[in-house]
Amino acid sequence: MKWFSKSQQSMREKQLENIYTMLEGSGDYISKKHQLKKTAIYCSFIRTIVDTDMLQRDILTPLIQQSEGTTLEELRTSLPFEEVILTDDVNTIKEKVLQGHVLIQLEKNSEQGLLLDVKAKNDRQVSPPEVEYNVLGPNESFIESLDVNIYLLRKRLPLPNFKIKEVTVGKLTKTRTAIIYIDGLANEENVNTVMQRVTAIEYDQIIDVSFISQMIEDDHNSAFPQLVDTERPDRVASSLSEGKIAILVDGSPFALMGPTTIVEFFSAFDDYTLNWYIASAFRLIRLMSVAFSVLATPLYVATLTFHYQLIPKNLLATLISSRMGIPFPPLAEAFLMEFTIEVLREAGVRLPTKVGQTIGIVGGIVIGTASVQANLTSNVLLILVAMAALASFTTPNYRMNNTVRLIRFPFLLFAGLWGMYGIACCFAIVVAHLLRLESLGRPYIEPFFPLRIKDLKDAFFRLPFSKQKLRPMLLRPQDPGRVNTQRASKKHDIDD
Amino acid sequence: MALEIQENRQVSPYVLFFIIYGIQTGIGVINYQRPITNSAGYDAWLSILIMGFIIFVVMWMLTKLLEEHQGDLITIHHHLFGKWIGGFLSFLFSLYFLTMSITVLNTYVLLVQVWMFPQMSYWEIATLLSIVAYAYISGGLRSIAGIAFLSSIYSIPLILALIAPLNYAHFDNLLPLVNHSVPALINAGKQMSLNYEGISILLLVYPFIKKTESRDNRKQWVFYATSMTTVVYLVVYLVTIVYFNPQELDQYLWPTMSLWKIVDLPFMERFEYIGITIWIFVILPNICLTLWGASRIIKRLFSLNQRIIVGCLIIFIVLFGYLLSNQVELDIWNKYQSLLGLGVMLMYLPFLYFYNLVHRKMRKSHAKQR
Repeated sequence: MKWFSKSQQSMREKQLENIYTMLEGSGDYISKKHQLKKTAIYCSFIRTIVDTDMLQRDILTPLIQQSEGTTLEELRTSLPFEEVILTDDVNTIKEKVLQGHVLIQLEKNSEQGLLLDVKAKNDRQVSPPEVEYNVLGPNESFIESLDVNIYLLRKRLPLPNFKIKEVTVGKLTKTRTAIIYIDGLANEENVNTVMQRVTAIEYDQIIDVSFISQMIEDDHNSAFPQLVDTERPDRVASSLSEGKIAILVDGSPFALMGPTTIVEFFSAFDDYTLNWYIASAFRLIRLMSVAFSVLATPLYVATLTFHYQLIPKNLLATLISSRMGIPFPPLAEAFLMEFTIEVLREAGVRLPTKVGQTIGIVGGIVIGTASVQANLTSNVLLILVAMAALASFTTPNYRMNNTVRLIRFPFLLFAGLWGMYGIACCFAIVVAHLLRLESLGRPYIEPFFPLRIKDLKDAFFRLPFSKQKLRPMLLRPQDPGRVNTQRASKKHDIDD
Repeated sequence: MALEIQENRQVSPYVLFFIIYGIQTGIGVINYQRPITNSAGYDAWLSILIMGFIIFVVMWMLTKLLEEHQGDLITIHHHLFGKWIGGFLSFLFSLYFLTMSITVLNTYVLLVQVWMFPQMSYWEIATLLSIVAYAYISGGLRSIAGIAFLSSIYSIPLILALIAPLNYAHFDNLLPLVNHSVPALINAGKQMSLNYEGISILLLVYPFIKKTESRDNRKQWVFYATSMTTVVYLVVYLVTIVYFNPQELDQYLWPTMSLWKIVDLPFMERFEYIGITIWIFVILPNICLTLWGASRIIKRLFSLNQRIIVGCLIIFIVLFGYLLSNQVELDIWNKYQSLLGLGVMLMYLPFLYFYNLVHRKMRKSHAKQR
């Protein structure tokens, strides 16, 4: 057996050498000798990711001035750190040093060392949300640090069963990914589905949570997002307490949540801060504007191309006079205008803010009025297209917002080719797709089909909190009741 | 030998209501008023009730059969007639479902051509519709149940639109009450067989409906659906006869369409265009369910891939439908189809029920002898 252990040892030595030469190859790696009272130590770290102030103040100064220890074990007890790793595993050393730990050794480049976390914290401040803005309610949003994000959630849910499962995904980026849920509330099947899908991810880079979202979605070829992403910790906390599961990724200021339904993409957090019937009215307005946004121009094209009989006489006169002298068929006209609007939007997103305003003026006023005056498009269509674009922006979720805007184009094409019949067929195909779509294995258009009357409390309308005593059935929570429903409510008669 | 369906492929019991309701309201609703009035005058509303009752009884027989045999049509045929004859009869049923889907597809295509797009060819309309149908069928019964459910919701405005003609109603059209003989009434009922034809789909759908150990409420939804259909037919008929007088009604091929024309909205004229457009959702469950039924029988008999069967059947009905793409041929086809439906519903299905009774007795006595 002697030869075996010998060869093993030599292999380890070789590995050691490899790692240290690899580290020393980079310019910001520092390895320096310090003389203590009784012994000398070698202190190695990567300068750029280490907080050097902290290193000098909290580690080197006390060691040099006070420490009497001669072994690593003695040094370890004298350091005021909550987590000091004493290891002789080369791979741990490599990993930790690369993540911002400092390595303290008695012999240079030996295999044993102390590892202390002195990672530099250069995170930005928690700031108000920018994508999902709302008028009332808390104004915090996630930032790029996973720990801060978890802190934002934990302070809202001080629970012992607040569970965080951490996995590392991404071959190169080694991204820390946290799967968060409330134990004993979230359905275990859902948790298992998420865990299984996240651990099965094989990709070299996970830069943002949207990478994960695209990889774990049920149907990769769907235009509809199947997991909600949000930058609001308050929203995540409220979803977690419903029994949903959240996925957070280090380096991404967004959280993913699932399972979800299509309605959730059209609900804003303001729906819960406002009075219930005002909130319901606003939600209805939002849903109607989605319908308008998708169907307005296709209906215009269909009626003007095929079914002008549908239009009452007076309106027909207005339409005809506005279309007088326009050289294109309605389909081409509509495509042209929709395309222009999309170009304006895309340019507005890509350009710096200051230039963006100019684009708005150029697009809105110059192109709009000029194209009408040049007889390229009719006034009515211009109004419809602008209204449709405006209506599409009422969708609070950015991903769904894009879907709504894009789905209009097939409708437009079908309308131009087959009129109302085409629109109906296109709609039927979209419905067929939605009926089959699932979010983490749960039906996507749930409160409508399968029909669950109890879940309709938060679909078209947001009923008052007194009617929201049950958690959504979609999530199959382990604990279905939000409150103790035993208490009988008393009805008051007049003058009682 | 009970037929087991995977649990995640099953649907809730209430869905059965929409499936049965969906398959009974289809192309029939548009033009059933004229033929029944020709037979029984304005007393035909009684025929609707009689027909509704008969269908109710047939449905009851079917549920009894299904519960006894714990399976679907193929199992029942297999138990009663053995492998070969039973299989052959099931195959005939598959053809029967196919003819039904041809009827529905062609009638709708003709409707679109006559009312909306005289210039559009049969191929365009039929192909588009069959692509939509395939999108649903390939999602399995769950997705078909979904469209059956949604279509009954989408069609609510169509029923509400019938309030408009009531402004011009002559309720004295209903009088004198009941001055036709019973045979005339029954004859009128027979004219409605095209409306009810799809009910045999129950024989295939039933095992897909969830039932819990404690409670099996599948039957009740079947009966609710049948009653609902009868009520809808009755209401539509009553609206028709209070609006049209008999001589007038005889002039209209599609009275329901003409009723929709009365709707007057400030931003829209010719409501029947909207009606035909929404009608696609009313006939989709019909096409999907019948095609699904036809392909399911073939799948169960020959264990083939259902996706491929559905594809082939769809291509076949679109090609075959071209032969019937004008009014005269379609009328002849529909006449035979309605006779066939009458035979299946009122003769074959009751026969199956009574044969089962006899068969059961024979089995028992056979077992005793042993």
